[in-house]
Amino acid sequence: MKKVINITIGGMVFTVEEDAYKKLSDYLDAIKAHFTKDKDGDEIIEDIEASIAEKFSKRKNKNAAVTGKDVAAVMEQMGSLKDFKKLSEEEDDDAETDDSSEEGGKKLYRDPDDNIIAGVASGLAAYFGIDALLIRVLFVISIFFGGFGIMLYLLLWLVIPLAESRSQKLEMKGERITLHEIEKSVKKEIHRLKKKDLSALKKFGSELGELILVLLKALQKIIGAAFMLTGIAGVFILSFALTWQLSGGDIPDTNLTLNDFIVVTETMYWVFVLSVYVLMVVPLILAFLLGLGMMKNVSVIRGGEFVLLLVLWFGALGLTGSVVFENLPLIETRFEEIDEHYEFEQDEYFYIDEVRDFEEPKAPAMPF
Amino acid sequence: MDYLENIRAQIRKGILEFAILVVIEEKEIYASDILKKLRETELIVVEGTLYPLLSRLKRHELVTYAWKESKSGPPRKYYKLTAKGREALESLKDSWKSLYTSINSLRKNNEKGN
Repeated sequence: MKKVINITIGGMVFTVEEDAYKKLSDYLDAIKAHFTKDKDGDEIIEDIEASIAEKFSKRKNKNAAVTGKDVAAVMEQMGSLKDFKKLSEEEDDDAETDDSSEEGGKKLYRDPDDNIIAGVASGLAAYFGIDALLIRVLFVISIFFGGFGIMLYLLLWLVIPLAESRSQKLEMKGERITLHEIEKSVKKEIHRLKKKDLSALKKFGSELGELILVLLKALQKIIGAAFMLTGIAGVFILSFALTWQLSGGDIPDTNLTLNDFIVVTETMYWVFVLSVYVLMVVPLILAFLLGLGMMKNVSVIRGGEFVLLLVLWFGALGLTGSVVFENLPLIETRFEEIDEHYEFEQDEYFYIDEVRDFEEPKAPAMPF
Repeated sequence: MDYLENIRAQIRKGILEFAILVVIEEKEIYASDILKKLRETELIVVEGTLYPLLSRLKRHELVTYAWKESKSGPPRKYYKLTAKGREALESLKDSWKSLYTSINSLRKNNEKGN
């Protein structure tokens, strides 16, 4: 006795035995995974499915359920995954990429073999060639900054695809992050989770998954717009502040300029101002690009540019950090001055000290 | 894989698209029949490898297809050459001839030399 499953393939309905179904879907999944990067991938899979449907309907006993034997016969004619791989080996040169981003960088994947949650940290570690432990520690630390780390982790989980095949694991090339891929990876992830879950959770999981997908699509535009606006406004404000600084304007509410906080040479001062600017503007640019990508449903962040921005940012961080560190005592003094100045102004306006009553602080009650 | 077999495979792969164009040249034909003809010549053995090639030819606008209903199974894609495809095929035929001549003239040189 065998359980059967109804499937549609190539637009036709077939009844398939359970084990045959498993075999067929594994086969098709493998082929799909192989062709995900191919421009014609969808069409090739459609063709293959149509041909499988034709073969099923040409069986002698075409009204009987499709058996494991039938599937094996079809697979033999169609060719194994190895055959597909053999063919595409030399087509990689022909792969006519329409983007120039694949410039020898690495490909960012989540690592399923070395994961604590979803393999984000180990994937990032492989990408940047550093130890996963370091990334994990950074994630944990960043959680204390208003849960920032958790949000970032979830976002990366969505954005970074899982390295499934062995070739993907070996692949170390740069890839653009497109929303189509995000959606695909979300679907795949849900599929993966569904497979993992207990059967009782399965239905709930799939419904939840569908719901999440719908919500994600709706949220995508809203979040995209928010990111864009934040980015644009931030860049605008910062650039205004930079111009203000360049023209020698005071910091609002004080008669101090940035120059009063640090003691450096003239050139060093401008380098410092610029690096502060870069430090703040890079995340805003990234937010803007991310938002734009979400709005337009295309990717605008390329691997190379991303790395460049990252390098710029870390450079700026180093510069700013060293200058601030060297001038720490002076900066503290200046801030104290500003505080005093501010209090003084308040006193002036409200004559607080004339009505101020000094009460002796009450001694805390002794516990015995 | 055996080195020699590898070389043979490379040659076969190199002319696969050419062979497909030749098969399509005659008349509109659908994938399974293309496959049958190619199998007779042992240029291709597994069906799955045919579809990527057909898609690629289509993307480069050398072939196009029309849907036709089928008695058994889903509708089929019947492929035919485009004008561009015909041009490409003619030029490939020339290349083929010149390859053939090149090898032959090399061989004749050898015979003379001996």
